[in-house]
Amino acid sequence: MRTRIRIQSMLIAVLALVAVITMSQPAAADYTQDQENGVSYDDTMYCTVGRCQKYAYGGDDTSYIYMTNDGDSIQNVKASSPNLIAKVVSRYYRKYKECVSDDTYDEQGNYVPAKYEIRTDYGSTYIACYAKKKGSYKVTFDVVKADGTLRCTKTIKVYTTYPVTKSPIKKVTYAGKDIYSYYPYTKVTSGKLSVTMNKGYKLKKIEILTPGKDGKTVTKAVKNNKTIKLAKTEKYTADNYSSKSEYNSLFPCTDIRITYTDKKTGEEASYYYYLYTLNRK
Amino acid sequence: MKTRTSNIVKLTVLAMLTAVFVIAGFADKAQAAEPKTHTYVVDKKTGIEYPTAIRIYANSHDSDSIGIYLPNANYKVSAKASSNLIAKVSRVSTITREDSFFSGRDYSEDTKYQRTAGISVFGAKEGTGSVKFTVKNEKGKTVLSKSVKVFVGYAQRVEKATFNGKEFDYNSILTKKSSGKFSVKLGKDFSLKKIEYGNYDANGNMTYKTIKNKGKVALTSVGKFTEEDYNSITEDSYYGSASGTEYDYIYPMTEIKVTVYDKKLKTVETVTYYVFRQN
Repeated sequence: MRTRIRIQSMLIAVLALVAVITMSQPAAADYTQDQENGVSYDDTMYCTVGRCQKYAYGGDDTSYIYMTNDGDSIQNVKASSPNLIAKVVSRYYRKYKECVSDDTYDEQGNYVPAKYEIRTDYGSTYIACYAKKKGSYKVTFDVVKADGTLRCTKTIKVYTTYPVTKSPIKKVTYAGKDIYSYYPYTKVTSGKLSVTMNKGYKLKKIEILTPGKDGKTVTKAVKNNKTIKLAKTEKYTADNYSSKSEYNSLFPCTDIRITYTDKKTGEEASYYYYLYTLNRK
Repeated sequence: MKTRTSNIVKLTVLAMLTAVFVIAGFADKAQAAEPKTHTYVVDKKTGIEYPTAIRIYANSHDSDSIGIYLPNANYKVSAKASSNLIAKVSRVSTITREDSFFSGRDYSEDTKYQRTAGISVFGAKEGTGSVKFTVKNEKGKTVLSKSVKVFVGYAQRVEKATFNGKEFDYNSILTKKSSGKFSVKLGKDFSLKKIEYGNYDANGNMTYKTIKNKGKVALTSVGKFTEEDYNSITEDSYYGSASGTEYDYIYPMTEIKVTVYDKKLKTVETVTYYVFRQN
């Protein structure tokens, strides 16, 4: 429990950091699912030139490949340039020994021992890469069936730098100041919320999410440049399988969900901002 | 004759008991000498478990900074912080099933703790403070009152770590050499306990070797190995199965484990570095 608690709070800290980082960066890797061939994989990898790491599974410099067909395996991993090394760095296996024919005697009465086969399944496989030089690369790999025939060939894109895109949201102010200046908490429990979008994006809606008494979130839509009220308490009871917990947060949190549309593509997305108050009781 | 026998028996029992106590005493001492990885202690009288000291980041949210384990579901916890800190009991959990357990804890210990409480601690600035917690029973009588030391601020474990004079990049480094000198300089709150380096063999077993600071690390050339989780396949079995993971690293990896001692918390921690041999 004690380590779990520390890990939990650390996780929260990391998640908060990730949330802040993702606000200015696009999603790192995309996961592609090919249901017909029973293959899913990360189709984009990002690796830093000259950096080798202990395989951080789920890390940007690895592609996690999962195959659903028994006996399928990955072969012929090829990089588009000699400046990139890509290979299968780890794969989980399961082996099964099966008796395919019992002990018997042939027509001449000679003893024929039983025959066995060992079948191997590879479910999860990781491909990792190492870049010697900057650039955009491609890695191809074959998914090969148990009988050695090709099932399909897939491509992973590899970049040595993250694409930097401008954030759709230019600025968010609360009670006249930049929203980030209110961390870790504010005594200003109500104020005007203003959202300014960058060119090319249209503000669709602003929602204020506050904690309800039953542990459920209360969502309220507000107009831009209007006064919002922050949650002063975050008190709720949560039941799970083995225990019942009563929470009474020191920093009641109000989530601000900003939904916008990309004028070019028409795509809709949301960003979250958080404001905290202090509740000593 | 009878008395003599009983005397021998008595003496034997005495000798055995003495031996047991001596061994137990040594075992106790040996255990006490082994530094802990956490500051949690159990109050002998009440069975309440709590940390004696914690570290938190400055100006940052931290929930469940202090975890308290209570063997009685009627016990209530309150907290009071020193003037430079804010503390509040922000979570109280009660076990609702006899056979249940709080994650991370031994199943055998489950019923020992009926309740756990989490105190959130906040410190705006770096420094030292304390949080005093009080446990009261259903009659409102104080069962236990203790003070927990709180160290606020980022505690830098390692100031600098180098391999052949080159600084590590995210705890990792690449080298074309087959060995090298590992050097580590720790932050002011920490002292060096131990440095070990480990290499995998082809069977996926890592063997560790202890070195001194600025000592030599011999790098492995084994990048391909299998870690077997389970295997019931034998020559003469009809059926059987096995599972595990096959590794084939881009560059063979040597792990360097640095055990550091936290002078304030009086606990040990491990910081791990990875050296990749670019052959």
